[in-house]
Amino acid sequence: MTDAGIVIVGGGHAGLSIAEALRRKGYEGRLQLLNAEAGLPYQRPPLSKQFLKGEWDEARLVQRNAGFYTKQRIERLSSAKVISIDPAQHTLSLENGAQLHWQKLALAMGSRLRRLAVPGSDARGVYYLHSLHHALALREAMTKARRIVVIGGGFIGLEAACAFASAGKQVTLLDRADTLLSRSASTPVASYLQQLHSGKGVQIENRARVTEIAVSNAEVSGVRLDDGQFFAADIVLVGIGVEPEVALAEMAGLACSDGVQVDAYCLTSHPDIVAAGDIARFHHPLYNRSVRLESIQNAVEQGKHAAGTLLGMRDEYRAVPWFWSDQYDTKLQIAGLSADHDLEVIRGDEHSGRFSVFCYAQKQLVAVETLNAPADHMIARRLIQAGVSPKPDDAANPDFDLRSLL
Amino acid sequence: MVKITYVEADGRRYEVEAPEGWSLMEAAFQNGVEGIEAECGGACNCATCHVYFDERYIDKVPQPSATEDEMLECTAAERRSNSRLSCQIELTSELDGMVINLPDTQI
Ligand SMILES: Cc1cc2nc3c(=O)[nH]c(=O)nc-3n(C[C@H](O)[C@H](O)[C@H](O)COP(=O)(O)OP(=O)(O)OC[C@H]3O[C@@H](n4cnc5c(N)ncnc54)[C@H](O)[C@@H]3O)c2cc1C
Ligand code: FES
Repeated sequence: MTDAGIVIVGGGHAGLSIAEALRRKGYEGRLQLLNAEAGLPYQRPPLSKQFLKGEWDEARLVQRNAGFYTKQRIERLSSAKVISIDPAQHTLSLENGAQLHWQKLALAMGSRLRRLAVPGSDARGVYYLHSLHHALALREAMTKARRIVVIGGGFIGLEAACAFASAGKQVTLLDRADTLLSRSASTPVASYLQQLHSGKGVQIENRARVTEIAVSNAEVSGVRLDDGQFFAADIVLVGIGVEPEVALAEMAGLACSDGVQVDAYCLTSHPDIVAAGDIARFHHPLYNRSVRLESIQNAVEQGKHAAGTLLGMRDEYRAVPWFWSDQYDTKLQIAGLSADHDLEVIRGDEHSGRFSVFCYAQKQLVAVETLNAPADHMIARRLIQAGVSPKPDDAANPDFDLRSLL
Repeated sequence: MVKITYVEADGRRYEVEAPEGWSLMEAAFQNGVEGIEAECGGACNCATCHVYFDERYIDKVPQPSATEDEMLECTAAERRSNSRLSCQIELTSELDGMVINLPDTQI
């Protein structure tokens, strides 16, 4: 099979990034991009933002138009779900029965939804938000709904709550932790967002343990908590996180542990298979620990490194992670990873809606969360990448020019 | 539809047509213009959609917002007086025929 070339499984942000980077880096051979979803690869972030709010239509979500793939000689197969991979034979099988050969393979299957597992959770009117397919269904359902309960105070839950509240719905958000965004944001940011949402009429219940989705005539009628509280709902949106889509890789015998394990160059435990995006777990050199990231930045940049590795280049992936979320008129940006920090320093006025939280771990700057302060965010990315930690007093002083440290 | 020409730093040109209401970044991105990275997909978060705007048309678009202005301070290539983030510019019929120059780097 001489012209089997490179096959990419998954046509999301990472898969497309790998395909584009291969061509930009000079790969001339055969290139196939397989995607389980129908249609052209599209952007996910707007699904819970502009698209749900009705500001954008479907056409606008498309990343590259069809002509782009033809010009770049990327053979794009949509509705092409891979059901098994045989690394020894260098083959894979599609759901429709077809078999493909590959010389090199890239895994970019992203993640899958974590499902709510309480009685009633498969009733009609329970929605999730991970793909365009979900977003279309939810956007349609919300027009008819008056009362919406959101389960989960992570980014998806909060952004959706924002879209619902902006559309004049009566919104209740149930989160099990003490503070919102407990996995990803510091307390000052979480409390600011809590106030922001409350101010827009979203009723937020922290420490809420959902025990049951109440159902009447096979339709959702509300959500019950362990303390007996009941919240009536016309529809329920569940946003309780995702898990890496590792089943295929596990079956193929690749090393996996909450993600497909890759080295600093995105190579899996098989010498001809790379992985990138939500699916990949790797040792982050800036944080000296194993991480798996769910962000556009990671999908796009890790994808470029994976492409280089497929072509025999060795370029270590060590980018500073960054992430954003837009809620109402507030822009939250996060540079770095804040887990395990032991010091928080606030720059700016915590109540003004424009401030940054500098997070340190053992005196080292590890993350900066900014609200409506984009310049701080951009500088923070550079500081963390360069391993430069401003003195906490300087970070706290808005008149101190952080750029002078670079 | 609005016609726009994008010129890469190395001189390559792309003639593109896009609907009114889209952003100057989206028109470039969907059509595979290489000199725009647009990592954040137009959320004014990455400054990798930096362009040098057509001076002849500069009065036909609103001034940069405070956010865009701050982000423009952080572009990879030098900021000039006609620097803009293309994701923040909405296409209108008035912009038909623009020529947009791209910087040599976005990252
Ligand atoms: C609603 C929403 C909003 C978000 N907002 C933001 C944001 O504001 N900022 C941010 O940084 N990140 C955001 N994210 C996260 C970001 O979108 C993901 O981290 C990113 O898409 C990961 O890219 P990926 O390529 O790894 O996976 P995906 O983009 O999920 O792509 C994986 C693709 O692989 C396909 N696939 C899976 N299995 C198979 C198979 N067996 N065969 C063939 N194809 C397969 C899937 O159908 C899918 O199309 C958001 C995510 C969602 C869902
Ligand atoms: S696309 Fe990211 S700032 Fe314009």
